[in-house]
Amino acid sequence: MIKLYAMLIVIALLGGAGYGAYAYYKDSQARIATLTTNNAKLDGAIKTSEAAIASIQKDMKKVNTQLKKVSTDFADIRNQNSKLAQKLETIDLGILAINKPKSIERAINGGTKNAGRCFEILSGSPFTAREKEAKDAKSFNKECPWLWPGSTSTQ
Amino acid sequence: MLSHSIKSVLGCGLVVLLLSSCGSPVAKINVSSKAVEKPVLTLPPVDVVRMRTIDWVIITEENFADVIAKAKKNDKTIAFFALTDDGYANLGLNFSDIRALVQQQQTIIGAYEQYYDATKKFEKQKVKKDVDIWKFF
Repeated sequence: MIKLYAMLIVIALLGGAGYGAYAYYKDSQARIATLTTNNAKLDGAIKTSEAAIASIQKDMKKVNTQLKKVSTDFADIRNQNSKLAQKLETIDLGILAINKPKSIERAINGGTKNAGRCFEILSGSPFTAREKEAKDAKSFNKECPWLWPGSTSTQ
Repeated sequence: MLSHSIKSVLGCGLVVLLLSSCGSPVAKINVSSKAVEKPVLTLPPVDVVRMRTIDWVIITEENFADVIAKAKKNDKTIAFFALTDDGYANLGLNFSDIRALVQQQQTIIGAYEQYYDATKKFEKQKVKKDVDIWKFF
């Protein structure tokens, strides 16, 4: 009877040890699988972060490009806007009007018409036949020659 | 006695076996995220401006009588809205400033359009790339 109990105890101990080894193996495998998954996820997260940094850098480049372009365009626009003031500084409109009222009247009426046409073009008005056929910026519109489609200069 | 012990061991084994079958493996939850694009803002174009005709008349001491006579002949009311040469120059400069302002605003709108159109294209490519990366898991 004692022999039987001893045998049962030995079997129980061996079984317990075997189960322990099996559980340890299973747990290790599960840990390895989790760590592998985590590693792969971290790898993906790093790639995503790198892509985000690249995207921000690219956007910053675009911001700088647009800022430079707008600054250049603004400088050109200010330059265009100063032309009339420069022209008016060199002439005495009152004296010219007294000496040549008819020709000055014609000139300012033509200038007013051209200046109005500049606003129309800026608002999206299609070009007239005369504007389409213009060979150069001056014949296109004397008040805003830079709006001529063939113009390379913004002056 | 022996048969009782064997019965107990076998009985316990059977209970453990039956209980173990009640447990089922927990299903793995998959969470995936998808970027949803903003609706495109579509705005109508601005109204095309039609400028009305303006006729300037220069009146000097010499042509004053002629201008009045011509206006009377054309059945015009004899009332002139006059400007001095400086006033006329300032009016012209004011219009020039407004034109410059319109051009500056158009430049800014153009810059926004170019920046956001280019960014949108890049984001589309980036989202596709991210989805490809996460598809791996």
